Amino acid sequence: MLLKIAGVVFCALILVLAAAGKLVLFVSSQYVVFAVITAVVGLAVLIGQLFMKPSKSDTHDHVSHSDKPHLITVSFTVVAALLMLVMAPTSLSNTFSSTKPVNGSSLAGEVKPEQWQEFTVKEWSAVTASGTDFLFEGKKVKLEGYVTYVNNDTFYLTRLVVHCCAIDSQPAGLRVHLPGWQDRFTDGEWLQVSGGFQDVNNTGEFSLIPDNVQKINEPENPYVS
Amino acid sequence: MLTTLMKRNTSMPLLMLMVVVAALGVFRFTTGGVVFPPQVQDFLTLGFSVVLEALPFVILGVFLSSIFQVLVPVDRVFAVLPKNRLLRRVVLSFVGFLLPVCECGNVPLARGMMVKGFTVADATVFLFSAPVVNPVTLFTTFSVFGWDDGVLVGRVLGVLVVAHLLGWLFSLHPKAENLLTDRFAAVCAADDTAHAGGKFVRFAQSFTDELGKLLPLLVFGGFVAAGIQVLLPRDVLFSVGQHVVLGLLVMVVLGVVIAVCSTVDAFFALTFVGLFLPGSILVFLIVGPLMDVKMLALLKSTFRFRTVVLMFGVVVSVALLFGVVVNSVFA
Repeated sequence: MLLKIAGVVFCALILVLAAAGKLVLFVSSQYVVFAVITAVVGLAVLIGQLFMKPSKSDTHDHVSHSDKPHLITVSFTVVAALLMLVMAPTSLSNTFSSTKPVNGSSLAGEVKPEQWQEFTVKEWSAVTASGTDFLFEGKKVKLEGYVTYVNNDTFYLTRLVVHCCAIDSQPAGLRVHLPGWQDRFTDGEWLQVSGGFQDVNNTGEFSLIPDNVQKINEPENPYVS
Repeated sequence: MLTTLMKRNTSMPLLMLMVVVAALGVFRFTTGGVVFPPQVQDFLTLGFSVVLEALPFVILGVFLSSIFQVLVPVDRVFAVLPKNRLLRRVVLSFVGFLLPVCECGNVPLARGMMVKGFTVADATVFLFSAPVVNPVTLFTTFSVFGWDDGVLVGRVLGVLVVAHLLGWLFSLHPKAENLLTDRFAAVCAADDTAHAGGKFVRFAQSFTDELGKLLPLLVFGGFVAAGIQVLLPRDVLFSVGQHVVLGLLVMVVLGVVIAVCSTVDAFFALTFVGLFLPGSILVFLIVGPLMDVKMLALLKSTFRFRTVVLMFGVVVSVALLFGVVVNSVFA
């Protein structure tokens, strides 16, 4: 019975988090619909079974009693379900994501240049690192991300890339050249940056040269898939 | 409602727990919930991310398993499968094409197969091949790696070798039920016809029983993975990526501790390209879906500890062998 309640709590929380737009803080947005459908099924069967008249085998079947999970794991699950109930859903902290190396060149997979207007930080960080300069001529972009330190003249505009769930998150960073940026912004702060690209140091690696930088609140979905 | 629950021998503490759950729910949605210190909050977020991502797959697997146990006539299933043991296992290793569920969902399905009378060897072959030999995982692996460096071919061959090697080993065991936990062996040995009630009642009973068994292990595995993510210095691991031997071993560790679903782990493995040799990446793609911490926890629901250790040894050995071959050919 304890585990049925825990199961009901987890299924119900999937639905509540999805309805509030917070499920994407835990799982990739591509899983939300699937999670909602299975949670509805799980909830329906679990609640239905709670009110079902017990069969004879329910009360006498030695098998279902002998196959009970261990008390410790049951207790752990119940505590986890209660914690999930009281915990405010948040994105991963900058403290955690800063322990991972900022990547970019390998996170985007195949990038289609003709779709550049839909690029997020993930795709731009891949193409700027590869030095395919034909992509950047005359292009103006407006991108959102949080600040990660590179040096006094440059910071990464960063987004966490999530393929499956938050546990596989990897930071993708686009270099933004803005001397003295530390006087205006701090690590982890969310920004919207508009501007064009330039190979600042003639190294083949392009940076975003901002025309306008605005502080913003963290987006509803801080991750990109 | 309360009357119905009382009739089901629901004790007072359980009703009190339901009241606590309701009260906490009200607290959460009126206050917005508690924000813990960053490290604790990250740990909880990571743990719940594994649970909330894997639970839908477990529900799907349990749903299919319960339908299989209640609605599918087992004699018809056996009638369409080859009588020859080897051929039957070959067919079972491709059943993932019909039931493309990730590794978490395959555990309840394999349990359902054994309850319905499949041998441990047959169910094991399905359990260890289906996470990779299914259309979703094959498509994502191909979309990331194409035919480059033998990663896709090596991955499919690797898990098939693991699955059939384990299936063959288990088929040699004189008392295969000894490979299972006592509890699950008792479930398999029970008379299936002893269950009373209509089909939906039996389906619902099977669904809740299976989910009740797997949910605690999933939660436990998810939080072990979260704890390791918070504590493990991954930059140290990445620093040895190009070393021929250490790179392979590091990928075994990463495959175990990073509990990513098999259907999308190829995208995650993409981040290793350039840092690790192709054979090392292949090791991650074989070990991860078959032996990550949440899968180990789920396997413990069914198999004895020493059986799981044997499975772990076979998976890691085969993965390392394939990794060495791919590195020697392509690196």
